[in-house]
Amino acid sequence: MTKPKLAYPLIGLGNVYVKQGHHEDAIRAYREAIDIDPDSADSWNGLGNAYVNLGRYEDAIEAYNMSININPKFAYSQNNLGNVYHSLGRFEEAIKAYNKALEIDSKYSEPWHGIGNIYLDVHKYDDAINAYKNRIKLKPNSVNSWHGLGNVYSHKNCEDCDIKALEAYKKAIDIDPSFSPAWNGLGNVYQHKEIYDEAITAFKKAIEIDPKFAAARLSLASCYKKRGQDDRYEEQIKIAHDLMENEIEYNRACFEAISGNKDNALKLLETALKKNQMGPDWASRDPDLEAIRDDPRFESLLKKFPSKYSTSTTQLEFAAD
Amino acid sequence: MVNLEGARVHCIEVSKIEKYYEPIFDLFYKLGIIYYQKNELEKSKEMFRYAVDYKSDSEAINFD
Repeated sequence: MTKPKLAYPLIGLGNVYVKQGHHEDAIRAYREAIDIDPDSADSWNGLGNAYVNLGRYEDAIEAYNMSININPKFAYSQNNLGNVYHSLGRFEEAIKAYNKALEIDSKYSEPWHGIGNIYLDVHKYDDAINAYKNRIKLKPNSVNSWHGLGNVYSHKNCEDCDIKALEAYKKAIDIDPSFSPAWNGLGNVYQHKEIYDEAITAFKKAIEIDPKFAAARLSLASCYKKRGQDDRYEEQIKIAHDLMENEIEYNRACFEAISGNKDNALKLLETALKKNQMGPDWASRDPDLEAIRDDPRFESLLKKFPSKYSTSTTQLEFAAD
Repeated sequence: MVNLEGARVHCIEVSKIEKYYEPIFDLFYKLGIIYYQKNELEKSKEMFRYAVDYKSDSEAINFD
């Protein structure tokens, strides 16, 4: 039996451990596979995945680069490398890695999703739309890219964006009715359009699937408040409060705004804008921030953080080839 | 129609009788992959472990 072949079941074992969330065991299995066959691109790629799951991003980059050095045509490792760079906020390097993955395999759809996520993060909405659509063209049932497309249309301010966002979220739900973020997105659009019955139904569905979905509970509370259903508002706010601890500052700002704590909300919103968690364009329209919108500090805060990025359709302008 | 469970049980039986029968390594490995794809992770792990153990045994014979 050849030595590389002996490493195969260890890679398989590592993959099982990753899926089970036993990442330290996975690292041990991949390392053992690498000891047997140091030239296995699969083992290094798997090791990178396990490191990512433990938040060890620099180790993951090293592992993916080992995989790529061994097999420069391994599109999966290039794509995974792109995902790590994205997590670290190193957008240009991420785009470069995604582009390399696409150069290697133009039929591989995943990198387009990563590119879409980055453009959504930097508020280049037209480019994000193109990227998600490219993914969907290659893989029509990509639930996360339909959801991404819904998110872009939700954030982009255009005449028919709400309708397009609804269509995209509904498509994601058709593909996978248990995908709670799409229900939440759907709820947000209805809430923005002040169609509260539909919004409440959608948020309830998101919460039914994922009871710890803090943002959905918060938006549900906001809808109840709008309709004057104070008991239900209080009930949801109480649950949301306990779930808020680990949320990003933007969501906590929404929570404080809905709870009527203007000062805290504005303070958290400033941090969220500094961290680029959300663009000022969405903050200016988000129904969850309605309670602080009339405050003069809100407007001056948004002026302090104008959108850093244009929404032009310039294709991948910060991507090196 | 594939009797996956039957294959799993038979492979384990064979491995007990013919400890160094090389094709069993491939069978365990392939069963590990099939169970993984079916998201039956405990059985997948079991099959991969048999393959890993076979590797250890065969190494002991071939290389020591």
